[in-house]
Amino acid sequence: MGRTIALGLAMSLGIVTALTASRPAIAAGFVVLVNAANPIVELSRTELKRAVTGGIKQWDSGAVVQLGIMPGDVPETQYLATLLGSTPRELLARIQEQVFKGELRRPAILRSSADCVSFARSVQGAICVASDAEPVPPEAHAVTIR
Amino acid sequence: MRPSCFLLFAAASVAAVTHARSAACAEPAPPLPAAPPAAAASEPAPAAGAETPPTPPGSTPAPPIAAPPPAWGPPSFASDPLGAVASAADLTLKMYGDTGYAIRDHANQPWPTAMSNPNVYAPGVWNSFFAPRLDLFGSADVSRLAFLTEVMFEGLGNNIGVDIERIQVTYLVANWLRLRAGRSHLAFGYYNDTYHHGNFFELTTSRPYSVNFEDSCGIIMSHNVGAGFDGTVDVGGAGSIRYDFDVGNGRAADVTAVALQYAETNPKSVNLRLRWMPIDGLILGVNGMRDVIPPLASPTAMIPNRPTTEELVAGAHAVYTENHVLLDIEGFAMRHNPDGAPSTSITGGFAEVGYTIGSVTPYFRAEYIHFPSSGDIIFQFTSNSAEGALVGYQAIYTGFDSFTDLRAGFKWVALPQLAVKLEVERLGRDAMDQEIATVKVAFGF
Repeated sequence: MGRTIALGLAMSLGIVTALTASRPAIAAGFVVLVNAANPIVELSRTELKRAVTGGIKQWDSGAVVQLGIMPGDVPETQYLATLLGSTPRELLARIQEQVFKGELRRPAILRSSADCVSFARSVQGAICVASDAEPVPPEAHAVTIR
Repeated sequence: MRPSCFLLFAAASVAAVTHARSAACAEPAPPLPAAPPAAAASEPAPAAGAETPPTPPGSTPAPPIAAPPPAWGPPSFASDPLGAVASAADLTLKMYGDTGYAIRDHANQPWPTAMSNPNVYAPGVWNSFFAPRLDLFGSADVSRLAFLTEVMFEGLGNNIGVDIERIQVTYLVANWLRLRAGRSHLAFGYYNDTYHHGNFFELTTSRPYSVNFEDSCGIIMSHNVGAGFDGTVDVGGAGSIRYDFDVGNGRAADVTAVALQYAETNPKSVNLRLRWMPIDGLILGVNGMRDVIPPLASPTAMIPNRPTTEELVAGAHAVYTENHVLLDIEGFAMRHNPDGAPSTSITGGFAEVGYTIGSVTPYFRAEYIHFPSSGDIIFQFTSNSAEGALVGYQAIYTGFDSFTDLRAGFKWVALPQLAVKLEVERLGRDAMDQEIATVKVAFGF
């Protein structure tokens, strides 16, 4: 019983540490892309998180939110996870959990930044992350994350 | 008694713990991502021998126009035939399951059981391997419609039973309104409809008793067969508000079953959940629910019938899921008002906390349920009652005022598809206790 209490205290300490820790800086070099028909020009991190995890299900344009994601520790997913204050593994687990729960549409599986660009220009409700070195066609546009 | 009531698994594997800790220590801090090199296509070199139009003196040459990337599309039959078939059918089928090993010490706490081998839960120290669950999860999206099914193959004694745990269709009208119908998990608290039958997603090796499934001695109604709607509304700087409303068949007369095809009473169960999400990851919610549990006829004149019973439940939950923390605190108060008999109340709740370090999450959960000393007509049935005569055993809560469950462990997500859980648990009923150690491998693919 004493060990149980000690473990509980240790975990509580960890929570306080985590809550007070500052978030890491975000490296440049990536953009969040949406379809050109989507009028949104900027998203807060909270809004981005809600869009990625099913909290926001429809854009103001009326299109159903459709996430495109690259599974694994690829830089694009690392960037998205860092933006959201988590690790790629935590983010992917959260996405998987939300799909299982029925709160999030199945994400489209992307293979590269070029895939993201193609996805964003082809799907009205698309949202995904691409390298900013990828040329963005007029059918898609980048969203500022504030 | 069905084995899932016991959730008694075990085993402290020092080697596995050591391995898990090593993995945690070896996990480097996630580096800031670096952009990949610019795609060569961003500045396409002119083809050899190609003519370029002359640039007027003093003017800036126009930037080259990159060729548009190909339209995104589903997998091709040539490169990914299975993916292409799934895409054509617009269906994804995933499987979840678990297996493991448990040691139980219930020397001073025999468990009632209706299993074919009564010695399995006889007093003493017992150990067992287990592999009792396979969960087939299918989902598909068509425009604003979403379909979801969950078919469970689960152990009933040492046999397998099949249950359609979830079958639901939802239609998205807007962020503030989504309609749903079918069999789904009741929107009560946080745990009940966040975690389903795939144990992979849960921190612990099994659900809290108060939100366990109907056939596993759960207290809160787990499944709702009916319809409902939910939605989220932004409230500016104050975050967002979410509501969920369910109406359904309610409980069957046999409270260990789900009224999946025929409601056994005309009044429908109603449930409302309101949540406020003021900041990232923080959920504060309350619930109110009403149901009318149908009367249960006794098979013999020696045992009295159970009367119609109104069930009222209130609940509250506070959850935090950011910064690698999972904190879930839930409480409930339940009132049973049987016709012609005194009312009784059950109160309870649990607190679960975990902190993820790399791929390892140490966790702790404490649960407490208080039953009326006079006995609750629904959940403290004896074998000599209408419910007990129907199911063939007495409830695990019968004859006790307090029920406690303490557990601590680690969840190691070794792969995105596989989690290893090591857990120790102490289950108490009044002064009696039972210790359980479990190692479980939960997977989803």
